Amino acid sequence: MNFGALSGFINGTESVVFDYEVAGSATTSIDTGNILNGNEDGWYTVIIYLNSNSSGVSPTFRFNGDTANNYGYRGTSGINTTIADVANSSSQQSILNGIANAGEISLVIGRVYAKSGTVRLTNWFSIGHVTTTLVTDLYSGTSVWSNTADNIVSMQYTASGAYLGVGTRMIVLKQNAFTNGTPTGAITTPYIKGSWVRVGSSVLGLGGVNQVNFTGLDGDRDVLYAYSACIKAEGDTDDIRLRFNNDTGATNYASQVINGYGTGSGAARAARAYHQVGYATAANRMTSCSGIIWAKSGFQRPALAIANYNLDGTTFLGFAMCGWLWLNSADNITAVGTSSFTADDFAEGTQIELYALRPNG
Amino acid sequence: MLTGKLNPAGTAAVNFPGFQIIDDWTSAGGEASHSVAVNSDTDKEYKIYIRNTNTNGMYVQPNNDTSNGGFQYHQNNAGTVTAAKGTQGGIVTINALSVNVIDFSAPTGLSKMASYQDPLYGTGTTVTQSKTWTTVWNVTDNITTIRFIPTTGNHVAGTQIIVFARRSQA
Repeated sequence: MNFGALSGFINGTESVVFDYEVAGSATTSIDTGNILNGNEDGWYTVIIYLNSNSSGVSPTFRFNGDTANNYGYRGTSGINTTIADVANSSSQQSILNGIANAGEISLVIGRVYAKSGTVRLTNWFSIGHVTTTLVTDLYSGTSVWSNTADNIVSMQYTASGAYLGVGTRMIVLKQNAFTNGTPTGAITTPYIKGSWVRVGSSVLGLGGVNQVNFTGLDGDRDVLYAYSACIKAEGDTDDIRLRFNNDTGATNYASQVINGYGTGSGAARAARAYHQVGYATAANRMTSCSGIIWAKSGFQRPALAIANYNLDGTTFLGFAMCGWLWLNSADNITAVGTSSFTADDFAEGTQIELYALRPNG
Repeated sequence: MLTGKLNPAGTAAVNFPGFQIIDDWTSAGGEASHSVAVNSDTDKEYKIYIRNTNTNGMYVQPNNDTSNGGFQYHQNNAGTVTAAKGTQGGIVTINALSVNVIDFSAPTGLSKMASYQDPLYGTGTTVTQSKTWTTVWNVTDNITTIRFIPTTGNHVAGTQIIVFARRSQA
């Protein structure tokens, strides 16, 4: 029975519980208000896109309006070729970086364990000081809110003044209850508003394919994409490329990465004709990538991802935590393409998926 | 357009091209392991949320396999930044006192891969370690069960595991 699109909280799914985009004029703070129930919801995913209108805007992120030194964090930063420890064991806020100057943006993703009875940990992944051409810094780490007693009922993202510019957006997703009973009916729907829905899927039944393109997309409607690719090579693929709207401009894709190759770790910055989502040098090697892409036009288009390279059996060549930027901020994204650099191809079984959030339906 | 809550248990199961929860388990304390029945050739992908309250780590083992795993990680341990690669039992190892969201790809006929952030909580407002992993289970078989087992001893009360699969509940 097809009811078309569904909206609301559908048990067993993760869906948007709060979505606020700054419009009209800049503001100081985004506050969910007391709409949350951490003990019931369990986990939250927080996605924040900051469009800064001032210098050094470094918003705080807090739970229940707690402004005391009840937070701490530890992570790693990658700024150009420098990696460094980032830590604070007595902080007044939770978020890991996500700083931007006027005209810059930042993208932050946090996964919050919200139930009381224990400290609340949040895994953060962020890029900051993203200009129109450059990803300046990348952060990965975890923060703690040491309050174990109180139910989380609200979250606040706050700047020191009216510096959250137009286009700044905070989206909070929660998990809806799972019940393992016997259904009395079934509903089939193409998508659920505010839940991740698959809009592109390719599982190769045969090899000999060197590109997979998802077209007919509407990035301005979708707002966010979740991308995952698990690729088996038929030969030397070299860099595996991710492109939007088939943009092959030589330096239209910027990156800042923190990488690990065996026991070596480092950071690097680059400008290429693609986002590098994988790398394989021989047949039967594997490579994979998963990440989140901010798709809405009007401002910079960043992404955060983890990609691994040239897996041979149980041995990786290495991997990278990636902060990306597509320099085109104007065009609606209508296509997302994955391709191998050389003629050698994607083997049978290669699986590439694209999910859209569509918070507005 | 239908709005409001749906309860799969009592009203209707939902079929749509996205992820749905197939298991939500909280330890009462003392369990040797917890297992979830799956069919990876159908599901293709999982997202696994783990809150580990144990002072020991945890393995995630497809088909109860205690070997065939490989990893590469990058970590900041108390201010020292390092990386390493090697082999392990199963597809995932997570820290004690951690929260993890694991992106798990399980393509048919290929090795299975995962990536995740993996902290180690210290005490008070101190996070001891920040770690990011990419891992593989070097087996091409269909996964029919995923086992979550502490590296030492039994599960501790409060540990929670939630598994999303890309399948229909209808």
